[in-house]
Amino acid sequence: MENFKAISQMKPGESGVVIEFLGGKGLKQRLESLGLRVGKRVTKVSSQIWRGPQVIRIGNTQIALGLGVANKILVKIE
Amino acid sequence: MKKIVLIGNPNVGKSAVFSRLTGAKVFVSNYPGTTVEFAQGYLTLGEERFLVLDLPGTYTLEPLTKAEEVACSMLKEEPCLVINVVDATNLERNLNLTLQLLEKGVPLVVALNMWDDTKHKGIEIDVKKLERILGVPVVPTCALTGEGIKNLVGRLREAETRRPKTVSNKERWEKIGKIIREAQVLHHRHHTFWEVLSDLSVKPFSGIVIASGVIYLSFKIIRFIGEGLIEKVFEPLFENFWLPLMLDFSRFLGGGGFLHDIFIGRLIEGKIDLGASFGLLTTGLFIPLGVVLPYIFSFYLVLGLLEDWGYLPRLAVLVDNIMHRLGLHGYAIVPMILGLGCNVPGALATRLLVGRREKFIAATLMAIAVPCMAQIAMIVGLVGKRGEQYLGIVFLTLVCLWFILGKLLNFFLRGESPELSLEIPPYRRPQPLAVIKKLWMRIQGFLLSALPYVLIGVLLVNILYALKVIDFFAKVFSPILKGLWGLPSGVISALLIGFLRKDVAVGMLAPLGLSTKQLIVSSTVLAIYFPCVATFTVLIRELGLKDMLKSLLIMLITVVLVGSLLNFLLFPIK
Repeated sequence: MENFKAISQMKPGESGVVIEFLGGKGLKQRLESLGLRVGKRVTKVSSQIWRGPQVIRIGNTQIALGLGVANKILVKIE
Repeated sequence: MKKIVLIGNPNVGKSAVFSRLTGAKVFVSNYPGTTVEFAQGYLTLGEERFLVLDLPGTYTLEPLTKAEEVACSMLKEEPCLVINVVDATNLERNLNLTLQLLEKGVPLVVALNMWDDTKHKGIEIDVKKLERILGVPVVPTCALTGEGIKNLVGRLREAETRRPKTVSNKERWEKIGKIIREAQVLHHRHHTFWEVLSDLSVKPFSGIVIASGVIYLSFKIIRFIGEGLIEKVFEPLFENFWLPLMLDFSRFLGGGGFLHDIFIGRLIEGKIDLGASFGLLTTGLFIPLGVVLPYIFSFYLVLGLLEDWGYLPRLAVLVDNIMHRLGLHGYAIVPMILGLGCNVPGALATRLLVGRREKFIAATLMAIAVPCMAQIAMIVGLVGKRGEQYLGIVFLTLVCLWFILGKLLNFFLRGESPELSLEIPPYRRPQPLAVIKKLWMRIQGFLLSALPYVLIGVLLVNILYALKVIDFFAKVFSPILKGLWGLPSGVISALLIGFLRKDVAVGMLAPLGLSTKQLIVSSTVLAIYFPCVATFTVLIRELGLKDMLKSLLIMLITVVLVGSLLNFLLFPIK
């Protein structure tokens, strides 16, 4: 199981494929509209200190997610 | 009149396309959420004239924020044509909204905007194929340069209404996946300079270094240009050209009397003092044009550059942590920064925030602890003359107040602070022409909206004095003024005018002969105290009457406390 991580646990530069959203339907829709969906490949760009937001890249888009949201997105590391 | 609406995801260039189509002037920036209200313009096609609406950006037709709600509600009014502006460099994500629009059956044309960016990003889109799959006209455009706009206009007639259908989210995404596989090819390429800088801006260490640098430089440049313009251009102009004219006029009016008081104001030691005489043609013009305008110019120049560069969303990421302690998320920094220019657009920008609690905290903090540039310029001019350190006290007090009040509101208001989920647009090199155009629009806005208020304010001061209204209020409020804040009762006139315009109010402190300590206390009190009438009206609309009253109550308690505390703590300053 060490291949699965939440986005918040990924290291900068690490990439993976989104496996599951652990949140509700509203969260899922919001993230989908930002381009973050199950099956998409994401790359971690950075995480801010003191439990700050996590920045990831999907294709050509960079998005910032609060830590609480990033905790709820499960990724399979490549 | 038939309507055409522009709809699309945030920050895809809808306003830029709109401005190209209609020639109407709207703000264009590089951050999601520049447009929070809809704008109107006109477009003539052949013989027919159409009303064109520019809507705030939305990711889906199921709105979350007030800004998105505005966009979706406009779509319900049955426009005869919808132009879906799409970011060609983010086709997949943008198609989600496109397909939702197609499912609704509205007559649609797709503008594939930012087309020029696809080349150096290694994106190849087969427009013909995309057009065939979607079944609506697809036109590549680059709204910033105007490329493709003619073509877009030429194809508007081809759009037609179709039968609506229902599609599940899953089916829709499957279809998008298929479209992307067929119509788009991505090529590998190396990171550009801007992309490397972009990554550095959101990494913890380098991000904080860059943010400190950007903020420090911004303040330095704003101060340098603002101060420079005042000293080298505006003050000499007023002193050397306007003042002699006014002296003649003063003599013509006989050096006193009612008309003299209205137009020239009171003579101070037999002379006209542009800052303190308080006539319509002296102080009434000198405050907005001689003191405030230079700072409005320099502030909006720097802000415009930061906006078009795309820095604001990065700053939002870096301050997210601090903002969470105040019950907000990082993007609430946008209304605060806009509020520094003028509280009105700041209040409107709270539409980018999701919940009622979040909007309330952001609007209250901005109205109480974020002074607008007009007021800042006056405080810098007035308090700065006594010494930079005193200026420091005023602004440090406001920063601390902003933070402490935010913490208290977060503690006492039930609910949670929402999580950030924000798209970070790529950095772009600001286009000089676009920056200048935006700056000019903002200066025009200032002159048209502020100048009349300032003049009315100055006129009102004279009338209130003549009617002895000010003497009455001075007596009533002297316990707070004298007892708690240590201020002479004359300051009441500034507080009264503060309802109307904050810059005039600060200016009214000039002739009162206050001590340095009194000047610090009264400037700070004026900054915290009631928002000006323009901000007030917008806040009532945005928050609702009930929340606005709550916000005002908090403001009143705060202003009494902070004023008293400063008066008490600053006893060493004479």
